[in-house]
Amino acid sequence: MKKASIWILTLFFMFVSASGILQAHKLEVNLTQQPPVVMVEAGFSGHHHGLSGGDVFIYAPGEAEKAFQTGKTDVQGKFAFIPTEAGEWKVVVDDGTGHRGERVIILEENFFSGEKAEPESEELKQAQEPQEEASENEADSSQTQVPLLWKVLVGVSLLFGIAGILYGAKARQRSK
Amino acid sequence: MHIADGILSTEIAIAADAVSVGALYVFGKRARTEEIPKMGIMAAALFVASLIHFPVAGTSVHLGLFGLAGILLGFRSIPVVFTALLFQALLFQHGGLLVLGVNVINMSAGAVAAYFLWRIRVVPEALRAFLCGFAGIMVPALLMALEFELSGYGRGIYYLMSLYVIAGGIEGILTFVVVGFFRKADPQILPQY
Repeated sequence: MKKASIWILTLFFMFVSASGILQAHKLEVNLTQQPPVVMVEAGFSGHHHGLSGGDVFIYAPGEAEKAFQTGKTDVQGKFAFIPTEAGEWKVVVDDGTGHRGERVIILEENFFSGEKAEPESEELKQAQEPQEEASENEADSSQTQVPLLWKVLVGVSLLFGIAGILYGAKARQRSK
Repeated sequence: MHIADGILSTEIAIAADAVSVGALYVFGKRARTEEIPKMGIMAAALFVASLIHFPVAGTSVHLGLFGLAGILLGFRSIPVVFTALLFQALLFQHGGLLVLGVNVINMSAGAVAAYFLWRIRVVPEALRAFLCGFAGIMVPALLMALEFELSGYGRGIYYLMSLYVIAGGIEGILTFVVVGFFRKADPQILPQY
């Protein structure tokens, strides 16, 4: 059994050593404001091309059930819609095989006036930029902070830790 | 392969959660002490394997190793799949937490199917290994399509099975190679059920 574990461990490290091709298999949705439209771009993380033909569902502010607009991404994984009011818009993209990505964008009133509010001073400008970025990335900011390799190491360490604790507990139970 | 939250109906998801937690308890409790290190390492291998993926026809398919888990662990692969999928959902957002039970049932079914295939001794071992890897992907894919249909998405998903045939083929070849390696390096690792 000990020998078996060593061989499986070898197999496991063969996978880890293939870290050059390790990528999160997550459907990512990016939104950009291009007044009067919001541009949706969907694709799998690590892939260089977008998700073609993905189902897109746009939800207006305060409307969680009925989609404001539906459609499909083009060959480049892009889709555009024209929002009608300020507030929190939710965009969901589904590839039809169980992968789904969603993102929220908060649109200010100045999006609809066709111009961005001029910052009064350089100081204000600097303060404003991170806020805009924060509202666009609000949906998954917590997910993009930690590098993938760290997540892999944390997961593997936890799994080995759980196995170790269970092994110790069972061994103690058997010795009693 | 991993179903995300919000796609299947809540009733199906909760029922599957209950079944998978029950299976985790039953098959986890029966695990022998000496099997636990092997289960832990296999869980880590499953956890990492889902990160190796290939673009196919505009979507993405990835390795699962469910067939290999079924060969090496039999029914013990169920708690292994549960744990690996839980960590994948928490750390990589592969599949939702509410539908964790559905994903566990789908992928464990692949492992259990592989376990039963491995027991058919009349089939040559190399072919059995390939079929186990193939079934480890195709059984979960078929169950996923069935669940989509039950949740009212129609039968269109069945046409996407061709993508999983490719993934199943890749997984079958990988399982064949790994089993061949184990056969040469240390045959005792391959259980003779």
